[in-house]
Amino acid sequence: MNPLLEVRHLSISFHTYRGLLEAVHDVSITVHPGETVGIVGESGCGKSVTSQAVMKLLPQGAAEYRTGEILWEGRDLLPLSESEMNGLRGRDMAMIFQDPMTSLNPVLTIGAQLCEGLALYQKLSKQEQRTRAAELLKAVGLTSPEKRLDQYPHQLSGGMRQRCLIAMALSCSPKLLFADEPTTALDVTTEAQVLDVLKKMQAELGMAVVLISHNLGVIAQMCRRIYVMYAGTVVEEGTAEDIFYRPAHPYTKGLLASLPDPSDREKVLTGIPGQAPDLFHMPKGCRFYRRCPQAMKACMEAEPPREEAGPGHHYTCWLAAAERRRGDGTH
Amino acid sequence: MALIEAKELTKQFVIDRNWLGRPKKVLTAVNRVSLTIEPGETVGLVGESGCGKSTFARTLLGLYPKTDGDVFYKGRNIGEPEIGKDYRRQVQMIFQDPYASLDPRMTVEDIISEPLRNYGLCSDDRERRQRVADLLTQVDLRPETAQRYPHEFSGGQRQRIGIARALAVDPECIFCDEPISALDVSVQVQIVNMLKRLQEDRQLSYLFIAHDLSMVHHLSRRIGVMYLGNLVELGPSDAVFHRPLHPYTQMLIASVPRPDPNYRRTTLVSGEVPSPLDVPTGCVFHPRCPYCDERCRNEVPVLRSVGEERFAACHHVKGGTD
Repeated sequence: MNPLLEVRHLSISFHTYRGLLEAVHDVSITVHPGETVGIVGESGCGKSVTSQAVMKLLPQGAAEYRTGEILWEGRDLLPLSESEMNGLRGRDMAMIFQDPMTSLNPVLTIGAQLCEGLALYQKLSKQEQRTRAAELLKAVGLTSPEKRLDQYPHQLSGGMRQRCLIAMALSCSPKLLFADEPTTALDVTTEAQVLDVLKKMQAELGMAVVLISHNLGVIAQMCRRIYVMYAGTVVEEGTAEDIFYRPAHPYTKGLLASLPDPSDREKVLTGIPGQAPDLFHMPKGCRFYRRCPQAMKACMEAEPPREEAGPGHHYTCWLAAAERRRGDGTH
Repeated sequence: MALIEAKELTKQFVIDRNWLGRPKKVLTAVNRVSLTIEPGETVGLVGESGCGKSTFARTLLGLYPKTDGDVFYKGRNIGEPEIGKDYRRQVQMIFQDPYASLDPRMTVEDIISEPLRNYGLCSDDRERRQRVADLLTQVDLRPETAQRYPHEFSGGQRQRIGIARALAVDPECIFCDEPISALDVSVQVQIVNMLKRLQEDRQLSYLFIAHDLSMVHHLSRRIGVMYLGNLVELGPSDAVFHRPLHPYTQMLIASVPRPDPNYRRTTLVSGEVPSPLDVPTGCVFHPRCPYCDERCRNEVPVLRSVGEERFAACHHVKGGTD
């Protein structure tokens, strides 16, 4: 199967008053049609920048695509003009944002905002648009959808607004949906319901979803394949089982060791010492070595190589190379 | 004897007044909540936003004047002047937002030494500086950072400064109001482990408020669950997490996303929290409850004992006495 989206060796820098800041470094991500891919990492690791880069939503002038290419169904998106991108955004790829409070326009009704996309891409009459909008709201589980169309965002709760945003993103049945921390601002019982809606809509429409989250629980429940990002790079990729049952990179292991175990209250959470590096003063070698419990001399000196831990399970670390060298030494 | 005891503590906010200035519309943020905190114990308080857990902590501490009910400190009512003064020193608080809870124009030394000055705990500047340096060391910050300003620190470091400030007067109990929700996962663990270490060193009690249920379960000996201003369930941590009795607790715990790709949720999760201005009659949870019947719609359930150390406010939970 041909991939829907292929990001190859993408590096993105921002021009800031302190100089050039590299937010994303050599990131490669593949998304196949219909699959759910998770990008997990802590704040500032570049997960949101990566998704916005694919949709070319980064501020022009400030952001610079340094290297790499973004292939959408085999076609490179980087040379495309703004109007060509507009043909893709909304129709082929859509996005839902973290904050349901600020991503809706407060002076327009839900109906007006929903119909905007429909009017743009589908030739429907005003009445048909309204009917379709009501159907969409019903599909994402809003009660009395007809009434909601005439309401303003402030009349709805956070969970309802996030459902509206999902309905808007899905209005043109996109092939790929970016969900950037879609439930972070919501309470747990609302979060569970919104994730259920997302799962249901994905199954119905057969679209691919890229779910971006810092919450390992959300990622585990939703995604088949996972990319773990740290300080602007992908440090590990694999299936959900690979990442949660057989983590290979010390950072992934540290993240999992930071989570409490519901069945063992006495578990000692080891976590990860220190804090993420300043993007302006990135270490020369591995970006994780200052916090890594297994750091060696090699980690300080050069970027770690990409290693294979199993089929489709890759990580970037010096440990495997050191292991091999040690093995050679004994023979 | 309990270190702190809240007895039917109630906090109402007046939303609207009539032309005589009398309350016309009131919001009951905390509704007759009773809870004890034992010496050296961590009590967790969970619930969704707007359920009144922060308001309860602030009212218990006296940051909000209470509407009704009593607070006892070591068995004595904090309404008595000399008890109240002691209580306010022995109970300190750390806040959710490490950016907003530190004055940006004060140095770290000023921030930490303010409570020392207020209580006249240091006789001279040299002693005060020494105390500040000790406190910074205890929260794993270098004493040299005392002359810096809050904006020079990361979120996790600022939270450490907030903790050092709370520790300055050597309290017996600290109320932690969502102390880790603004932090990254790996930094959360550092703060949680530090709170645990400080508890062992100083025999501290904590009232730990958070919406991250698995972390509350990890840290607390007992957990209280709040919904729309009411304490609906209270019990030992493991029991509440693994064998929840109240239907709301069951829904809440089922909603927690587990870091396990093969975990499947079985309990149905539905509905939304109603507006606290328009609280349902009878049991406040009845519109969302799968077991709701006539009695739940009309009769308010009270929190009653339903087993060893376990309490629930539900007509359908068996056991115990009414």
